[in-house]
Amino acid sequence: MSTWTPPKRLFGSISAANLNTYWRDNTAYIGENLPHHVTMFHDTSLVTNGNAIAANALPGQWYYRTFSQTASADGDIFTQSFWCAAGTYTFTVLCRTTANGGLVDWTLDGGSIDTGMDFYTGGTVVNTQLTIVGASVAVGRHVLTGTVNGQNVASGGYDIEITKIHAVKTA
Amino acid sequence: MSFSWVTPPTFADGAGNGPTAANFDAISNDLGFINQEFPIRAEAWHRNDTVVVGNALTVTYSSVARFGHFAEQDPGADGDSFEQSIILAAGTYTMYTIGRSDNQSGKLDWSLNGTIFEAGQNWYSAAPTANVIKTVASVVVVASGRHTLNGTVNGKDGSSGTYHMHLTRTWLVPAEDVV
Repeated sequence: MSTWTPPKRLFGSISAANLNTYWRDNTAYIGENLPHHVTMFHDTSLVTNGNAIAANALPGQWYYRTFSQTASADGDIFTQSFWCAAGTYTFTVLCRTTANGGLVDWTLDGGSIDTGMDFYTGGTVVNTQLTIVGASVAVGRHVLTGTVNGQNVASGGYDIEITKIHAVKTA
Repeated sequence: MSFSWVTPPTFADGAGNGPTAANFDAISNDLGFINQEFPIRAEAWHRNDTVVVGNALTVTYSSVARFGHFAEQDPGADGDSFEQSIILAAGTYTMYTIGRSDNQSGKLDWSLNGTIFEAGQNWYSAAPTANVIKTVASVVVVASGRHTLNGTVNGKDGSSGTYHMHLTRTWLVPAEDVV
């Protein structure tokens, strides 16, 4: 881990040691100190395919709400953007699973990080937390995309009811 | 111009082995990357705002309100002011604020870094209405970095009784999520 040293004028003292302290290490410090935790509420997701996101009032659900594209359909797509340090992350999707849940494929900057996340359960279950473990994330800003891709054979629909997505750096 | 992150180079001393143009270019590239990669979304929960003028914020829990609560300076007064710091890339955003409107609510002026970009946002309604979302289109952030988002109560609707503000959250999003 780099440390931050308040920059100073280098005139007359442009040594390798100074350049490493004030330029290399300070630059690295900024890159390393981006956030390790990210929270994305689903009502702020941008829809790129399908119907708009609506709020569902659910007293038993954390934050009292889930959010979902309504009516849902196979091929629904939504995006989020976040900013973080490089590392390995676990993404936790706080949601409600139902008998009408669909399957979601997740990509990060266009590359797959998970396929077939299943939002189906035989009965309705609030506060379900579905996870993506071990996603490698580079430093900087990223686009997380969720695409509805089919359904559990027992499911009656393509509903994706999410409250929020939380990402945490694990390594 | 697009930048990508590289591990900052180590500068070296010694005969014929001094700092190189490539070293400087790598550092410049990383600084460009840091500026380029600022976030394009921001979120400010009203309960976390810093009060600039007026009474402290109190939180009311409500199963009707989205996210189960709203916050207000209680009692509210004309001139109440609150702010929060957000980090955003330069660009154009849509700002949303969710709260409760009622017949005791005032009007808000919104500013970013001291410049008002929305005046007279009216939170009055004849009947209490939960989860009202006010939208401000085309909020321009001139430079990437940290910004102060301020809300100031400035008057009220002619039909409103007082200057209360029952707000839960404000968030800004771009037109499109881009890497």
